[in-house]
Amino acid sequence: MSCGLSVIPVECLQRGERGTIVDISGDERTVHRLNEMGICCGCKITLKRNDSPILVNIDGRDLLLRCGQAAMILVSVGSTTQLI
Amino acid sequence: MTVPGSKSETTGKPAVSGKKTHTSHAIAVIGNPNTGKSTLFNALAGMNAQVGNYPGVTVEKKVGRFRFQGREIQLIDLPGTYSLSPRTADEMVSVRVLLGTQKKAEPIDGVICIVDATNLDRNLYLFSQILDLGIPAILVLNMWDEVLKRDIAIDVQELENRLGVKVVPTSARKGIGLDKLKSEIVSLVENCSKADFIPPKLFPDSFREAKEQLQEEVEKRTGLPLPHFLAERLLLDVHGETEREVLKEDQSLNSFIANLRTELASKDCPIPAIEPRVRYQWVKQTLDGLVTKPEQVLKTKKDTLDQWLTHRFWGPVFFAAIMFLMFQAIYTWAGPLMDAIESLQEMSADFVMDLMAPGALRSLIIDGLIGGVGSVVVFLPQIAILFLFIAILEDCGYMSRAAYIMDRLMTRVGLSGKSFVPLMSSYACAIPGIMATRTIEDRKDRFVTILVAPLMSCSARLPVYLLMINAFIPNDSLFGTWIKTQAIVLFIFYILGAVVAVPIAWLLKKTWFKGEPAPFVMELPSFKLPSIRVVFDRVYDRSKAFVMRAGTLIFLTTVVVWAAGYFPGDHQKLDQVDAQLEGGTIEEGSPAEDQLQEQRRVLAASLLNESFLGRAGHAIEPVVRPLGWDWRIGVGVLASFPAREVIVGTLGTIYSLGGDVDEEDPQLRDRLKSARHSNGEPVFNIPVALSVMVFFALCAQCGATLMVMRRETNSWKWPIFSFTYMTTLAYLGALLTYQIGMLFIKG
Repeated sequence: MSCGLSVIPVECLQRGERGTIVDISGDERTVHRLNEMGICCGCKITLKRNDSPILVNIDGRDLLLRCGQAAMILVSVGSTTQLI
Repeated sequence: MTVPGSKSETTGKPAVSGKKTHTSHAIAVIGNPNTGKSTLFNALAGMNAQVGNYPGVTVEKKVGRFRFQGREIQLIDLPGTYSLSPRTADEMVSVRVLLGTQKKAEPIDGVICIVDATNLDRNLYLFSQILDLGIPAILVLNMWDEVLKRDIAIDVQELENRLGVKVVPTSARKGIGLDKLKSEIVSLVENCSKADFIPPKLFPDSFREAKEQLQEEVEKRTGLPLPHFLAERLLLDVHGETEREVLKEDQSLNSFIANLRTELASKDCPIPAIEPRVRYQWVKQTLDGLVTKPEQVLKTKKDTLDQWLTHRFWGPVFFAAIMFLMFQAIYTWAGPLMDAIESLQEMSADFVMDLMAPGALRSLIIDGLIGGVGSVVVFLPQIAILFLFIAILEDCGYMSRAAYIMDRLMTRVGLSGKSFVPLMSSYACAIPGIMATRTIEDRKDRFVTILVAPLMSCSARLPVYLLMINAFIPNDSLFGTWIKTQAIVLFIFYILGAVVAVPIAWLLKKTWFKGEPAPFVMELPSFKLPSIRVVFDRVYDRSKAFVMRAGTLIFLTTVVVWAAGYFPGDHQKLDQVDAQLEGGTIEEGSPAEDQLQEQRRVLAASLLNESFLGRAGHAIEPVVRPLGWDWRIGVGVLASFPAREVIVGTLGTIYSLGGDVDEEDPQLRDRLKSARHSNGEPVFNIPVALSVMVFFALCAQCGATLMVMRRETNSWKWPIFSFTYMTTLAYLGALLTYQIGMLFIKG
C-alpha cells in the first residue's frame, strides 16, 4: 500500500475505472483457481458493469464475478483512471 | 502398444498394414476455454469424429482423424480447461489421457496445445503445465487473424527458440495455417520422442526435493510408482483429485504430505501459491520482448453491442425476441420440407399397398414402420431448425451473455448464471444439458440444475406439441398476419417447463440443498460471427442422433406396439374386405364401397379392442379418463415412458390399426381428428389436446435422461426422485388442464 494510492475492493471501483490488483484474499483453493484463470496480483482490472455479478475486464478479457468472491480482490487505484 | 478395447480396435476401420501403431498416431488436443479449440478440431478432423464416453466418468471422448503425407493421425479432443490441476475425477481424465494411463484411450504420441494468440500471457499457464508432462508438444497460436487485425506483433521464431517446441500460428475459422499444422504434427510423430522433451525447471530446489521424497514414499507404501507430474500435483493440489486417489491407497500418507507442505511453506515455497507464482514468472520471462501490443482501443463496436445486449432492460427484451423468432421460424421455414417428407411417406405406403396383398406383413410395414417411424421423422426439419438456432447462439458468444442477463433471475431461486447454459441446452436435449452442469463448481447448484433440467422442453417434446397443435389449435393470425396462434401456443408450452422449474428449484434450494449462492467466475468470450462449419457440424450431429433414435428405439417400440395391437385376432375377414376394396371391381364412391368401408371400420375397431393392446388399454382407462384421454392415448403414453417421442409413432400405429383411416388422407393428425369414442363423440378436442401436451411437458418420460442423471449424481436416489415428482406434476397438471378446459367448453 504505497502512499497516494487507495486500496479498495474491486466492486467499489467506479464504472469504467481501472485499477491494479494488489491482493486476493480468501481460501487458498479459490485463490489458486482465480490465479489459474489469470486473475492475479499485478493484473490491470477495469470495472465495466457494477450490477451483480459485476463485469470486469482483465487484460482484454471480459469476466463475470459475483460480489461475494469479488470482495476478496483488492485493487489499487492510481493515476491510470480512464473511462470507457 | 494398443490397449485392449481401445478406439482403434473398435472403429472397425481396417488398418493399412498389420501393425496399426506404425501407421496411426494419437495426438491429444487441449486448450483454454474460448480459444476456438473445437473449431480447430473440426477443421482438422472434418465431420467424422466419433463420440463416446470414458468409463466411469462423464467426460466425453471425442476422437477424429485425418491423413496427411501418408500418415494417419488420430486426434483426441480433451475438455477445455484453464489448468491441468485435477480437482475432480472428470478433470483427472485429461491428465490420464496425457500420461497414457486412461482406460479406453490409446497412449498418445504427442499433444497440441491451442492458445488464444491475443492473450498469450494468460494462456501459456496451461502450456507450462503441458511442458511439465515431458511429452512431445506443439503450441498452436489460434485466432491469428485477430492478432493481425489488432496489429499485435509476436516473434514466433524467437518464441520457438525459447520454448524448444514448434509454434504454429493458425486461424481455425478462416482456415489459415491448417496445412502447416498438419505437417508439423506429422513431423512431430516422425521425429520426436519423449526423451527430447525435458520439462523446464520452474520450481525451486526445495520443492523438487520434496517431490522426490514424496515419489519415493508413495512407491514404498503402495508399491506403485508415482509419475513426476502426478507427484507435483499431489503436492500442489490441496484436497485435489490426485490426493483423493493416493489416499484411497494409503490413508496414512495424509500426514506425510501435510508435513512436506508445512516444511515447504517455511522455505518460502507456500502451497499452492507457489505454482501460479513460478509459472507466471516463467511465462513473463518467455514472452519478454516478444509481444508488442498497440494501446488498446478503448471502446470498440463489440463493446457497444455488448452494452445493449446485456442491458438491464433491453437485454431481456432482446432475449425474448430471439426466442420468439426461433418459434416463428420453426413454423414458417419447416413447412415445405415437412410436406416433402409427408408425401414421401404417403408414396411409400401406396407403393407397398400396391405391391403386397393384405396380411400381417403388410400391416407391419404400413402401420408399424411407415406409420410409426415416419410420423416421427416428419418432424426432423423443425428439430433441425431448433438445433440451428441453438448452435448459432452458442457459437457467436450470445449464450454466455444470456447467462449474464439471467444471473439476476437465477440468484432469486438460489442458482447462478452458470446454470443457465445447461438449462438452455436442455431445450435441445436434457442429456447434454445435464452433462453441461459439470461447469458448475458448486455441488448443490449442480444437483438442483440436474433435477430441474428435464423440465426444460427438449426437442423430443416438439413432435408431440406440433402434432397436437397442428391438429387442434386453429391457425389464426393475431395482430395482423405475422403472428400465428399456433406459434404462440408452442411458445407457451416451451416456457411452461421453465416456469414450473422456478418454484421447484426454489423449493429444492430451501430444503435439501440449502446454502448461499455459489461464488462464481465466468468468462464472456468476445462476439464473433458464427462459423458455418461449426454450426453445421452441431446441427448435423444432433439431427443424426435424433434420426438414429427414430430408427432404433422408436422403431422397436412401434413394432412392439403394432404386434400388441395386431395380435391376437383373426384378420381373415378384414383382409378380405381390404382385398375387395383394392380389387378394382367396386366403383369409387358407390354405396357398395361405403358399405365396405363401414364394415372395415367396425372389423378393425373390434380387432384392436380385442388385442393385447386393447385389453391393456381398457385396464388403465379409469386412471386416464379424468385427464380426458381414451384408452388409446393411455396406451400410447404408457408406451412412451422410455422415450417420449415414441408417442407419435405409437399413436400413428394404434390409429392406423384401428381403421379410423380415410385412405385418401393417411396423415396422423387427420386420424386423430376423426377418432371417435364408442358413443360417436370425438376423442380429441382442445382441452384433451392441451391435457396431453401438459402431461408431456412435465413428465419424466426419458430413460436415457434418468440414466445420465444417475451417472452424474452417482446415485439412484435422484433419478427416482425426479421421476416421481415429474410424473406426479404431469398427472396433476394434465388433470387440471382438462377439467378447467372442459368448464370453458361447457360454459
